[in-house]
Amino acid sequence: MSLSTYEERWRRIDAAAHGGVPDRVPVILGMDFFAARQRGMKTSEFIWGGEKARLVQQELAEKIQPDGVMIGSPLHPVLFQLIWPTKMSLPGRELSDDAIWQFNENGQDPVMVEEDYDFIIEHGWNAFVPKIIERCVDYMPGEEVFPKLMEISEQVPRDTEAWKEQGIVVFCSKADVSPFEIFSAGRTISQFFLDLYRRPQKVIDAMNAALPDILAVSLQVMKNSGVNRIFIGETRANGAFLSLEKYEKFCHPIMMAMLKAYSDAGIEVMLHYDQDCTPDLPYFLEYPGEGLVLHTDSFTDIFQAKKILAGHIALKGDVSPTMLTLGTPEEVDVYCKRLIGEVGRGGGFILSQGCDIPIDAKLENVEAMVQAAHRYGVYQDGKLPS
Amino acid sequence: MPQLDKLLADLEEPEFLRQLEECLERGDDPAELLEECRGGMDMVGKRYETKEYFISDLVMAANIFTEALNKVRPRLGGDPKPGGTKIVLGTVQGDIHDIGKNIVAALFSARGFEVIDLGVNVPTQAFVDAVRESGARLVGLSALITTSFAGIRATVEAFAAAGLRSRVKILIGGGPVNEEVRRYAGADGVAGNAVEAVNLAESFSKEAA
Repeated sequence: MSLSTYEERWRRIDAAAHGGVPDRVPVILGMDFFAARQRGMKTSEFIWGGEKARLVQQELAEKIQPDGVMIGSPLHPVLFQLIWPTKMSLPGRELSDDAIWQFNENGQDPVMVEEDYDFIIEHGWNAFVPKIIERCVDYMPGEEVFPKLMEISEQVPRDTEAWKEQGIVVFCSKADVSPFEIFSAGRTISQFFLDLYRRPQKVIDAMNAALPDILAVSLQVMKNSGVNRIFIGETRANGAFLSLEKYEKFCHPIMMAMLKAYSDAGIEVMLHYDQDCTPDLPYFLEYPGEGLVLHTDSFTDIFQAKKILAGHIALKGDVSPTMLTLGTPEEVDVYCKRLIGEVGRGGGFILSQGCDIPIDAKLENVEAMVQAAHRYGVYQDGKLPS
Repeated sequence: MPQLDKLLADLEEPEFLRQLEECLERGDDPAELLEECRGGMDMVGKRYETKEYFISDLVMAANIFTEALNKVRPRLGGDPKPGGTKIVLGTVQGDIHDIGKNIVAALFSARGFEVIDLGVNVPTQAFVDAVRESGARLVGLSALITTSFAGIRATVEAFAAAGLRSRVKILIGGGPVNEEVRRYAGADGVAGNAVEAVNLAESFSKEAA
């Protein structure tokens, strides 16, 4: 694939991510476990990352030809556990060789206890990280965790370059979550929601105390990554779980602070929201930053999001994982046509799966998504064909 | 008379527990107190349906109700509501997520169901065995990941293979579970949230009665 193909795709994605009208609606896929299944690699091998794990994704991308991939570097459990502090059930260990990993949030035995809020308030987040490692990481010695993170971090620019040589754009180089999400995982969702009632100010104080350390690490990693966009994934900070009053109190201020820090550093953000954040969308109008993209997982009403956020935040989504797994190419085509026609009108839209492509999605459904962008998503004089 | 139902519905945990303790100490009828708590949970369910409450509020309400149940149950001298409709609940094989299932279980208990909770990663045969042993006519299957769709279908098929399919109504729910999954699995109903699950189970119970 030539460099000009890469540049063409990069311009297409960049225009859409900045709310503009590209030549065609771009397609970006998140296909980690799905790629492993399609290329015959056991997930028990895939989860430990490395070049082989990236290569199976590149092989699948060569076949499907998306414009970009959501994140270019392979998974590793430790990358998740530092931002999602839970114990994990892993393929090849508790789970079968070809299962996806699962986060083991046990409300009876949370990784974080109530007193940890006080520790974080007093000492910050970085001082707490060794405790997370001690409590969660059970597949490698604790002293090997930071060298492993360094190794992964140093690999990121090389991964990005490999994708570029293939002509495919890496959209984000690092995944992060807000302190709200980190605590909801560490405490477990049920205990954390009780905390919001029983000790609300302590939760807020701990979030504020944790944020500077979290941002400092992310900014450092981003500086060397070769991609200027970070993925921020939110799963519980939304209108399905929380009232607007709670969203405004616990979620909005911390997200504003995160986005301002990234904006000040010149880093663009893709916000990934699981579940239904439709009620919260008006708050998103206040979010700062150039090139801000909202990726939804099919629970949020993306058509309503277009009405509310057009001109402020670009949208990415949202073919449902269930449709990709159980649906037909014809159903995918019909839905993508509607997405492109309504959400793609006027630009600022990237076609994508909701959340990640499930491991057991049908290849023909994913291919139907990509083909739909070519069939229905070509702009002429800034407009889509009627 | 304290308004325990209102205190629970308003999620006023400390005051609710204080007043419940007072009632128990002065010898109020524990069965009546429990009914009042259930009334509070009904109000919570209605507030959820009208989008006044959200999942975080359901979690809080379920927790308060469980605390109340733990205080009242020892004074009842047995099952809090003998004869309550039985439902077998569990997260299907291959899936270890229990949060949604636990919220649903608490709401079922609050509505007077007798919940037989099999936990997570439940083998298909365990659902069948639990129905055989308990005589339950309702089964609730939970799943959070798409790879569990096969587990839902396998469980439904296991009931057919055991000759029990016509005896039970099978409800399904959880993150990606929708009508498409219900058709794929051959289940009887799909609930989009915990309150819908309880309402659906009640309507199935009435049909069977």
